[in-house]
Formats: sequence, structure tokens, C-alpha cells
Amino acid sequence: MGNELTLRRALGALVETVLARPERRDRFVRKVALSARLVGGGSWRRSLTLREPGADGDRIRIALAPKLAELPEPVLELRVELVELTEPAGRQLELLAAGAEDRSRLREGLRQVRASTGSGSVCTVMEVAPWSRIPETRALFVPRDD
Amino acid sequence: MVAHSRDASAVRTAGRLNEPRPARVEANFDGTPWQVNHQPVAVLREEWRVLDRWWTEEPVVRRYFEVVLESGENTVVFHDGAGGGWFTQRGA
Repeated sequence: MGNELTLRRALGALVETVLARPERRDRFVRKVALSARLVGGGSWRRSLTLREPGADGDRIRIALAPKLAELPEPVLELRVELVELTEPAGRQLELLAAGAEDRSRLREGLRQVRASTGSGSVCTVMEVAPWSRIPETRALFVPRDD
Repeated sequence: MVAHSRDASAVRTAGRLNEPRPARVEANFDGTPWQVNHQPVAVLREEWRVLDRWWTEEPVVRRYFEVVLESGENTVVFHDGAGGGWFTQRGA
């Protein structure tokens, strides 16, 4: 395979497949590796430690996708390996789901921040090119005054 | 996300996340870093290159290193092959 779109599709399918493996149970992924067998006979491997362990296929796929651009030549075989998993309780969940009251308190808190620091002091992160190989071009933080 | 109130320039306009920050890096003969911001490198975990925008007047030519410092801090630095200099960067 030498076509980037094909590789990205293959990567997405592999991530979903490996996440669905019963051996993973309820554990989250901490470190993942992408490896390939190359047409020239060599091999290639890149590993990635996720900033926050998770089992969201899209997130893992987006994190791994830029590595595909580092492939030195077309591949015969692509593999995704879950290198490190958390314990089943390796990620702390919310004790209480955020409800209307929490959102109301959050809005009030943000209103107070704006009141004390001025318009534009509250920002939201907006992804603009999550696939980019240049980290600083992937997302913007933009003032949010709503 | 709430921007820091003392950083006036950051709170008034949109900005980019994970901008590179200049770093003081000492490198070996082969270009691998052995010291980052006065802290010795304990482990060089990974190295990769990013070549992009070569068709523009501002090409991106970077040699990245993921290192663990002796303090235990895990950090990513890169050498800018186009403009020169070393930088640290999050989100790489």
C-alpha cells in the first residue's frame, strides 16, 4: 500500500479491531505502536504515549495518523499494537455526571472571570487541522464571549 | 479553558496551541541532545523528522527528539533545520 488514504482507512479499521479484542477488557490504552513491513523487506515502527489513557478509537486514530507520513516506502503489512494498558480502574471517572446545576455554576464562574479580566479572557479550543504534522497548526484557542 | 489574566496579549486574540518555545539544548556530535535547559538527558526515547511546506517560502524542517530528563520530566525538543535553533514543544 502506498496510498495515504488507503493507509488511513486501514489504520482506522485496525484501531477499531484491536480495541474490540476481548483481552483488553475494560482497560484503557496508555501507549500504542504502529508498525509495518515494507516492500523493500525492512520493517518500521513508531510508538506513541497518549497524554490521557483512553479507548476512543477516533482519538487513537487521529494521534497515530501523522506517523503514517513518516513511512519511508510502501508497506506490505500494517499493524497496531496496544503496548501499555491501564488497570481497569486506571482512569478516574466522574463521581457525578455534570448536570444542569453544574453547567449553570460553570456559566456563572465564566461570567465572573470575564467580568474581572475583560472580554476575550475565556477561550475555547478549536481543532482546525488535527491531521497536521506540525503540532502548532492543529488547534487554535479562540475567545469565547457567549 | 481560561487564559491567564496577566497575559493580556494571549487573552485578546485567537492563538495557536502548542507553539514551540525556545530551549537551550546542548547536542552531541550526531545531533542528539544531551542537555535540555540545563538538565541532563537520561533517556532518548524516540527521534523523528518532519519535512513539510517544502513548496512554500517557509518550509518546515524539524528533527524531533522525545527525551526523559534526569529530573524525570518527559519532554519533546526539536532542532529547526530551516531557521536554526532548538525548541521545546507540547503536543508533538
